[in-house]
Amino acid sequence: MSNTMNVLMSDATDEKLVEWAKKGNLEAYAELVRRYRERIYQTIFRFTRSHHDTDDLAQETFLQGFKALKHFNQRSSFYTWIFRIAVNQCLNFLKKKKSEMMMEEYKENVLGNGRPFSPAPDSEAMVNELRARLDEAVASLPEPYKSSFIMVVFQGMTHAEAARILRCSGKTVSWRMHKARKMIQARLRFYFNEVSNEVPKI
Amino acid sequence: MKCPKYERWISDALDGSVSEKRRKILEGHLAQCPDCRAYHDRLSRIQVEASRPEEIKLSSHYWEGFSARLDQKLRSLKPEAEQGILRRLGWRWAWSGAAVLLAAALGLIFLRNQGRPLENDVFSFEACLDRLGQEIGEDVKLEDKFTSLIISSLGEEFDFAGLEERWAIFAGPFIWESLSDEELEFVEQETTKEIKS
Repeated sequence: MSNTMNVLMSDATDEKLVEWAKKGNLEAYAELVRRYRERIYQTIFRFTRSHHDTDDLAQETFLQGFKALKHFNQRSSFYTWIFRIAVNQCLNFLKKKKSEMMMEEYKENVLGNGRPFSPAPDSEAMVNELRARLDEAVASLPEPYKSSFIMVVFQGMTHAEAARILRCSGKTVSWRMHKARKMIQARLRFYFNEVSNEVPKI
Repeated sequence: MKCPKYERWISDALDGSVSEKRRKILEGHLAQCPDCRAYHDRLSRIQVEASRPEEIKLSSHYWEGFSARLDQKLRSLKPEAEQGILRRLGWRWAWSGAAVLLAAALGLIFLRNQGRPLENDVFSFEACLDRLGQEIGEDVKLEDKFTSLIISSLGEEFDFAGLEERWAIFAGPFIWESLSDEELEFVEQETTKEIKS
């Protein structure tokens, strides 16, 4: 791609790029991919916790996006639209993966091993430990609690926004969030027991 | 003390999805219930930690490779003309076909119920679809046709890529089990319009 074309693409709005990409302009679509690939990657990684799977699903997301572009009516932003495709890809992936998992392995992941927490002496290490435990706890959530939690807490969506993507009601998302938090809290119980005196009042 | 109602409200409040009235009631409850206060504190801690952006740093070399692989795949896509006829179906045609099938199935259901009392919900849209699924479930070609028509019509109004994904999961006459209330309502409205016309 020439420098002039590069500048033209990088200056164009998403709407313009979508318009060009709909006509088959791959450079325009490549620019859209460049703008959102990292955010989409981060989102998918939240679901899979595997770089290999995330790479595959991110590729598939943008490929499906291009194929379906002619059906994109631009009532929402391109990012919102491609994000929906990414989430759908993740949900299908997790369903497939779950069906492939041995039941024992699944139970182990979901119920957790309950190993005691040993907080490191300094606070930064403690925070990192909590983060690692939290990621494990979220990864172990059964569907559809995991997708609701990822969208609402990690992506900052409202219940209504998440409900639209998950094709359910806002009340269902509210219930799933409540249950997800209870499961995460149960999984982190050793952490909270150990540091209960240090938890700041928010 | 277990306070399930307030635990649910605490979760909603953390997501900013609790009404002002409930928030005030919740604040009053938290002031007097140490268990709920501790629960709120634990969830707040989780919320704060989870909201901290997780940085995944990948090299520019990786992203160049990512885009190059994607570009190769995009360039190898078949021309649109070679893609299935389904995507090129106009929604009007699709709805006409779906309406004919639905009317035929309703007729079948009605005839089969002659002489027997009808259940109250037999004419509800979901009940009709359910019965329709049972009626055409034995006929693979009819089932495929009906599902294709529903999907292609919905694809005009909703996110096609998402529908395709769900179609892969809910293949067969039970596609509506994967539809949201909004989509189901759309199917009902459009089918009703077609039957009337």
